[in-house]
Amino acid sequence: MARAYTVRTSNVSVSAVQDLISIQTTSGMVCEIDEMSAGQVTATTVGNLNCSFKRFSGAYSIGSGGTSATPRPHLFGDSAATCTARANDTTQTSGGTSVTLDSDVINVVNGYVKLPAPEDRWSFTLSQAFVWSLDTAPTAAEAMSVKVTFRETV
Amino acid sequence: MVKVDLEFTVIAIHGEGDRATVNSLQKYRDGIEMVRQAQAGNDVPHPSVPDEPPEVTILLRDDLHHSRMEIPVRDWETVEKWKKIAGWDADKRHWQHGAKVKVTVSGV
Repeated sequence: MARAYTVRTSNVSVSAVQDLISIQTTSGMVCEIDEMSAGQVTATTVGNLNCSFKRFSGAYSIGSGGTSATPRPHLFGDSAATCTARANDTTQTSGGTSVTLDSDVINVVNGYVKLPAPEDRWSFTLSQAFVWSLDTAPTAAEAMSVKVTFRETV
Repeated sequence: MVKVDLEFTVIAIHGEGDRATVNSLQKYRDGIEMVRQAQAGNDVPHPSVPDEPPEVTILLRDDLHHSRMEIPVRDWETVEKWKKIAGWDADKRHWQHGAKVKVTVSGV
């Protein structure tokens, strides 16, 4: 049975272009992305921020400058995720082969939710990375909370 | 005493291993909460400087039977030990994976 996990950040100061959340499959686990959402509690006027969703494979270097985030299992008592996650990396993931799967805009006042239909979910095979990249810096630092729900499928 | 040695591979490590980063993030969150309380007109004491415990989880796989073992780490002293055992890139603050570790089982 596929195991669901959520990676989240809570009230983190975001003022620069960065990888909001990245998820790396390992050599023994694949995953698919179920849901992505973002919100903030600072800005009160419309600010539209470009973002993109990417797949990295090959000899890429995962981002740094942020934190290692713990994916939380949805089922009580379930095993820890085999995929690993990072958040708020201001040195963004680079190298290897990068494919932009989709681009979108976050209206910071309204918040952001992306919930693909089951047949449209992105899947990631062994030794790949999913990266949710914030491509536009906010005009002023915003306290953002971001989450990605994914499912390990092996 | 009888001991059994088992070889495991570190397949994943979750959680931030840098104490300063964890406390910095919590300090910012405390600030947000202070602002929220002030906006609501609540008089709350100023929070002390945070000293958060780690939330690190080590995920091991038995090389022989492929069974998994999770080791939660909730104190910074043990986190520092795991940095030496598993590997830690201090510049990038990245955990490293793939290290071989030996787990010894014995009676108590």
